[in-house]
Amino acid sequence: MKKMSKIALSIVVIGIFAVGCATTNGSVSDDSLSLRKANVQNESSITLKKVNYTNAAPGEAKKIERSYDNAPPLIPHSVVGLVPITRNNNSCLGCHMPEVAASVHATPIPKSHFMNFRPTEVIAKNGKLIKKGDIVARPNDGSNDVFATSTHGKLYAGRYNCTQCHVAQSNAKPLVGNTFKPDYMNKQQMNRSNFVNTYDQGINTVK
Amino acid sequence: MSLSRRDFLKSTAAASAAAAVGISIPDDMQAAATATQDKWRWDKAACRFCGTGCGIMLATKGKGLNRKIVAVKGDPAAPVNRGLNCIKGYFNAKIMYGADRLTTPLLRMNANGEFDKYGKFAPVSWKRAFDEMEKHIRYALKKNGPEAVGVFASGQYTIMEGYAAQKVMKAGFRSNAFDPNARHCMASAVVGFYQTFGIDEPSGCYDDIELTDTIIAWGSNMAEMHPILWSRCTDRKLSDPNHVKVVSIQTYINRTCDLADDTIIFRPQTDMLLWNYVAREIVYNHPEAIDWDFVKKHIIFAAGPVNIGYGMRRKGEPSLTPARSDGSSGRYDAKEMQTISKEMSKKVGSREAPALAPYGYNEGEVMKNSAGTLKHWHISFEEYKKSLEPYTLDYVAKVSKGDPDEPLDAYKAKLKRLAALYIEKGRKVVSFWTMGMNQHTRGSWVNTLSYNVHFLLNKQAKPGNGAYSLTGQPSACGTAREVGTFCHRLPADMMVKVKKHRVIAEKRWHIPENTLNPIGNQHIMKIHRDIEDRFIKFAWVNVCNAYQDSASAKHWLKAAREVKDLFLVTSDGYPGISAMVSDLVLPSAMIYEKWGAYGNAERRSQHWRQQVLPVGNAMSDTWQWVELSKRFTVDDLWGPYTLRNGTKLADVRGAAQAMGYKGDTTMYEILFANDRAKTYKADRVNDPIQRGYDDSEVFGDERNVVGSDGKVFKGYGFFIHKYLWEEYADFGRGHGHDLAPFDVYQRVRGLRWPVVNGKETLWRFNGEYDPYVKHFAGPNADFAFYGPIAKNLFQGNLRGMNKSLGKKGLKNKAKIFARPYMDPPEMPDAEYDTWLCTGRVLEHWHSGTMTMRVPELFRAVPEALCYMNPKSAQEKGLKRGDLAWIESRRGKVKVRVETRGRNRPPRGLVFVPWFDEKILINKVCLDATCPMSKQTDYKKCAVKIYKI
Repeated sequence: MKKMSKIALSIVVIGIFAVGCATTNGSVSDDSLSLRKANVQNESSITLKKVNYTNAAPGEAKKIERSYDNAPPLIPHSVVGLVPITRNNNSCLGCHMPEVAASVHATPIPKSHFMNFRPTEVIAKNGKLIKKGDIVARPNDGSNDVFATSTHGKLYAGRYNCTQCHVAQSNAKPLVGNTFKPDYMNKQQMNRSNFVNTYDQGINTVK
Repeated sequence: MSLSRRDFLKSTAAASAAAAVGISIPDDMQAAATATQDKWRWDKAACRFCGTGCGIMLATKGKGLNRKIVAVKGDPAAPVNRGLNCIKGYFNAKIMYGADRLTTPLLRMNANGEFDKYGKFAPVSWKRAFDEMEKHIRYALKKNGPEAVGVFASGQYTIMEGYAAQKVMKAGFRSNAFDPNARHCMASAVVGFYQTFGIDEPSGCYDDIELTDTIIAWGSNMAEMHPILWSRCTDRKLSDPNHVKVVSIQTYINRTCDLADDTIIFRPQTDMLLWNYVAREIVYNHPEAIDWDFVKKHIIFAAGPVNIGYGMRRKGEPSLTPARSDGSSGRYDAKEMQTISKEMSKKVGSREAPALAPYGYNEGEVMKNSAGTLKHWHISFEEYKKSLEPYTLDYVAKVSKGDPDEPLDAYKAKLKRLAALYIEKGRKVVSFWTMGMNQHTRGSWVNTLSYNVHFLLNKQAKPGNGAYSLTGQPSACGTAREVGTFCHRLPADMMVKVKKHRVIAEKRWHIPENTLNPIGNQHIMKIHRDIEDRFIKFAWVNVCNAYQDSASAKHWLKAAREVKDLFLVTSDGYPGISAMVSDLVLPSAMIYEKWGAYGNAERRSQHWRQQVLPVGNAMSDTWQWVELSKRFTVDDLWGPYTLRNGTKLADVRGAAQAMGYKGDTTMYEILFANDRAKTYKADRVNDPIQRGYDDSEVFGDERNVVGSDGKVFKGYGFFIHKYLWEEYADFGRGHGHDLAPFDVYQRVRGLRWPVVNGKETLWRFNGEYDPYVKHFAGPNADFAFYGPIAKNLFQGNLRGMNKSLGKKGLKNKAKIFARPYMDPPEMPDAEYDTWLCTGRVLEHWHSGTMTMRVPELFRAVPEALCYMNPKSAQEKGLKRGDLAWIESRRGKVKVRVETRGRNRPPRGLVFVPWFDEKILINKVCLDATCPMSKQTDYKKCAVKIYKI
């Protein structure tokens, strides 16, 4: 991970330098104004670089630091053979369920994934839509309750498609830097999630 | 464990949530979190990306220019996503921080500092940028009139941006050459809505997912394109796996199929066969399933002409002239003309012939096409029934089976199960679709076919039941469609061609009667074609990437650089393909650097405030439009014009004077800084909405950006976003498009329009939930399909209308349409032997301009792969990882072959996404459109693939 940060940082620096050139040094050609970096009409000159995803097996890969506080962790290991996630089979759960995670050096699925923030909806006899669930917070406008119900140790099924939030990383070098700087509530947050404690922070948006 | 209201109020919400799941929070951890939190400011916003419209919370930290986004979380109070985002949603945090943000206007210049079409880009001031735009707009107006000033608009405009742009274009420049990329995404859905219901937007809402028993995805890969809606579908499916059924109907296996009970792989375009098959099963084999009470009371049957072409260029257009003996025509070579010629006439093919027989066409016969029309007429139920006769299981299965390796019997069994799910009494069914059915040369038709099935069964506009068109873009519904940023539309479903509608808009905009241009035919492909035809002389790319996202791209890229007196402007956050071929590039404030609002696919409007200052000298698109309006006066724009087709635009300068305007009154004074606008006070002291938040347009900001007049921009001094919202919202209030006041949205997590008496509408057209039903159809009405469009029609049969029978009204009724299966204009043959389908991937948004600059998203999917069946690859001597050319009649690009992974096509079809600037797949795609909606079919054309 440290290596990755350094590479990212140097790219940021180069990126800023390049932009600086464009704005203070005068003119730039259109081909340098993009991620394509080649004439739009000419396809022969395009080079596509081969990239690789890690071969590291689950449990053997080095974890990747969170992109920011409570960002979904990136997948540091190979996913070959583990996807697709299907109706009948989700290989991710085999290692990441909290009860087994530690023993296989996997990141445990956090507590937020064992809560359902969506109320149960039913249409009553009179046609009205009724929302059932435990109300745990109410923004100051009073109109949008926050519901949170324990799923009693079973993964909330809305989070079953792990790959909609967690993605593996190739060794492709970013084409341009990114100057975003994360801020962590504390150091531990670089490697774990506590959404379950913080989800309602700041929900009163109009003071 | 339930908490009492008192417990909840007493404790902090976090602690109570922790208690609810049985966790204790250590005191020290809480203290540390609180300390950091104090430096953070959380606020709500809508996600930048897809049409789902998730609510996010943004944390910012720092003061003034140093305030930056530091974190993002799913908004737990947002009903759409309840605290969860997809990977793109989470990385909203980083999209504004790519190192190559545009920070200053860039103009192509020569060594003397003059504009030069063939010069390199050099930084210029905003003043110089507007000077050049003004000059070239004046040139375009003089040369070819208002139709020569074009804008590539967007379904990603904020509502206020779209509305501001609409006013300057239509009221100011009197130009309707203003059309959004949403044309490429939703136009067929809109024609479907107008033709079926008489009003735009879906009848259902996302709660349908939790309330249904059956989810059927029609050509929509929801798992990647609407991940949070798919998360809700997954939750529904897995919480009751035996009862809840999921069917995935696709042209290739994708992630959506991974959850499905059945996956139906069909041949591209034959979704029309499948819908008609289900309808035939109902009408012929299960007539008892038809709810005749509902149908007789609320539905009529209709048909329209079938020989309407494919929305391609037509004979006689300048770029198709002259026709040469070698088969080429104008700027199109002989190979391209093989496909384009079908626009004028074609031979009825063997696959479509049985379906066309009831309309009077036989196999091999030449069908002469006239340009697409929205015309349609009443037919009887018996005629409709006749149109369904051909769609037997044998015919449909034979033509529609898309995987050559699947046994026919197994495929037939799936079709039967599909029909049975729809027909099952009491089973609730939601049919979802997006681009598969919209990007389709018969997209408008296939949209209407979906409602047919739901109407026959009375499974539409009810909780858990309905055919549901999902939008692709974050504000395709909210901005493009409701604001009407299309060439033919005005706000709230009004049309430029309708005199009454123009008068309403003219009154609301305080402009003279007859200012608005009644000819609205320059849809987004027409704008490209008009540039290639050397007609449009000024064009502006707004919040989209028109030169990466349009099919037959080679032509448009070439025209952008070759038309000497075309002045092309691109406003963007980053330099993309459109910027590369432009003459002037403007730096735009990005999403959370401005106030805004989006409207999603369940009619939910969601607002946000400006979170941080824009970078460099970037300013919002709203500001750019408002500043441009300062450059033009009544005398400049409101004189007489004669349009291309001979229509005269009146000289309204006299009428303007009668209204109190002078010849030198600017469009800024009329359209923006008017009396009403100034009633919306800029007030960061007393207004809790504005307090503590930047507003670069209203107050200027500490960057002291030097503005369009060469002076530091100090702000408009009135609350322009609120003004634009309220003036726009007035169009729809009382007309079925009601929106709540601006301030309300700042407090709530969105409301679904129409918002009547403070209440949102969940199921439209249903008397239980939609107050307009009783308004239009009386207190006892159960349903009313009250949309006003096309509610008085001639009568006829499948072969045409008979005017002598006169017109018949259909107040409050919806329509079931007879629409036959027809082949697309280009299909694989001996040389171009493979179908090409393009689209998106989960990790990237559209042209990748934002997401390719987020390292995590880039590394996850760094290039657009060519997903291919391993057997097809082998047949072509290709293996996984090889580089290949993918070539159509229009062009070729290099791609890397992928034979495994998330997309698993059948033999004979490949999928290549379009987010990658290095793989401009739209050079290969065909710009055929639905001839009614003018929406491009990106989902099918014929290609060959060979090793490099």
